[in-house]
Amino acid sequence: MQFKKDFMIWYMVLSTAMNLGNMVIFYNDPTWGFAHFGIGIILTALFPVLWVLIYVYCKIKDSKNPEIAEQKSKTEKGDELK
Amino acid sequence: MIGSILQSLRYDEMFIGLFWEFFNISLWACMLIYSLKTRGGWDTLKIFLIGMIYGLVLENGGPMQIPELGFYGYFWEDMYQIYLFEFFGFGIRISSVPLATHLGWSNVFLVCLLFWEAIAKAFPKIRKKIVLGGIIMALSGWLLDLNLDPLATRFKWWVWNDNLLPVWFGVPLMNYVAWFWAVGVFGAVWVWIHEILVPGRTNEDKKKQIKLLILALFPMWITDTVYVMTCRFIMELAGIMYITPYPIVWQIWYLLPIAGFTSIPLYVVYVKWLKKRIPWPKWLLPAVEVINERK
Repeated sequence: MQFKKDFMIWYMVLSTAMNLGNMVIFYNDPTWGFAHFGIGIILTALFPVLWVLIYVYCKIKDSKNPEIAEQKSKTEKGDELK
Repeated sequence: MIGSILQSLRYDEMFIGLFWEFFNISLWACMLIYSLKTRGGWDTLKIFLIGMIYGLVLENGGPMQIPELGFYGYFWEDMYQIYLFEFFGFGIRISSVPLATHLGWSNVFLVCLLFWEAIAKAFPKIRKKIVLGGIIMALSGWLLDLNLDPLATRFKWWVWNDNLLPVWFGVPLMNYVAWFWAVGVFGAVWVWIHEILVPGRTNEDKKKQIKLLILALFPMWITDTVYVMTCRFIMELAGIMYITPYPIVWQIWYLLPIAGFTSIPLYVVYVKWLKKRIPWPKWLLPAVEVINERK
C-alpha cells in the first residue's frame, strides 16, 4: 500500500494538525483562546486520527485480499471519462 | 516565531473569517482536482455539483429567521466576501451562507464517501446495506466535525444562536444532529443508487446514476428536514436543546414531521397518481425506467 501518495490521509492529517496548531497557539488568548475549555480541547484531535486509523486499517485489509485486489483493478478500468 | 507571526496577524473577526473563506475555497479546488483525477468526471459531477446543491439548500435552513413562527435561526455567517451572487459587496445575495461553506459540503461528502468505500472494500458484505452505509458516512462526518466545529465556533467562522445549549466545546448538540442527518441521508441514497439500482460503472450507468440523484434531491431535503425537526422536538422535550425555555405554543410545528411519518402511505398513493397524469421529462426517463424495472 502506498499511503504516502494517498491524498485523503494527507488531507486529514494536515487539516487536523492545522486545527490543533491553532488551538495551541491561541490557547491563552482572551478573544480566540481555548483556555476556558481546559486542556481537554486537545481531545478533539483524536477523532480525525480515528478516521485515519480506520481508513488505513481498511486499506491494508483490502490490499491483503487477492480477490478484492483483482476485482478492484478490473473495475477501476471502467471509468471511461477519466 | 510562527506563533508570534500568527498572533500579529489576528486583527479581528473579519481577518480570521477571511482566512477561513479563502483557505476553504483553495481546499475545495484541491479536492476537485483530486476527485477529477481519481474518480473521473461523472463521479465528480455527482459529488461536487449535486452534492453541493443538496448541502446549499440545507445550509440555508440554518440562518432562516421567522420569529413569528418560532424560527430564530441556528447560526449566522454574515461577514464574508463571496456569497451567491454577491462578490465583495457587489451583486445580489440570494444565499445567507458564504460560497466557501457551500463548497465545503462537497469536500465533506467526498471525505465521507471515501471512508465508506474503504470500509466497504475491506468488508464487502456491507456494500449493499443502505442504512449501514448512511450511518458509516454520517459517523465519518462526525469524526471530521468533532474537531473542526469547536475551532470554527471559537474563531467565530460561524456564530451560534446564544440560546442553543452548547455541549461540545461551545458547539450546540443541534449542529451534530443536523450533520448526522445531512450526511447520513445523502450517504444512504448514494448506496441505494450506486449499489442496488444501478451498480454498473460504464458511462451510461453513470448518467443514469446522476439522473437518479437529481430525482432524489427533493425527497432527500424532505427526509432530512423531517428527521432533524423530529430530533429537535425530542431534544426540546428532554430539555437539551435551549438554555432558555422555548414557548410551548410554537411546538405545534413539530407535529408536522410526525404527521410526515404517518402520511408516508398517502405520499406513495399521491406519487402514483401524479405519475399517471404528469409525463416525466425525456432526459429523466432512463432514471425512471430503472426504478420501474426494479419494481
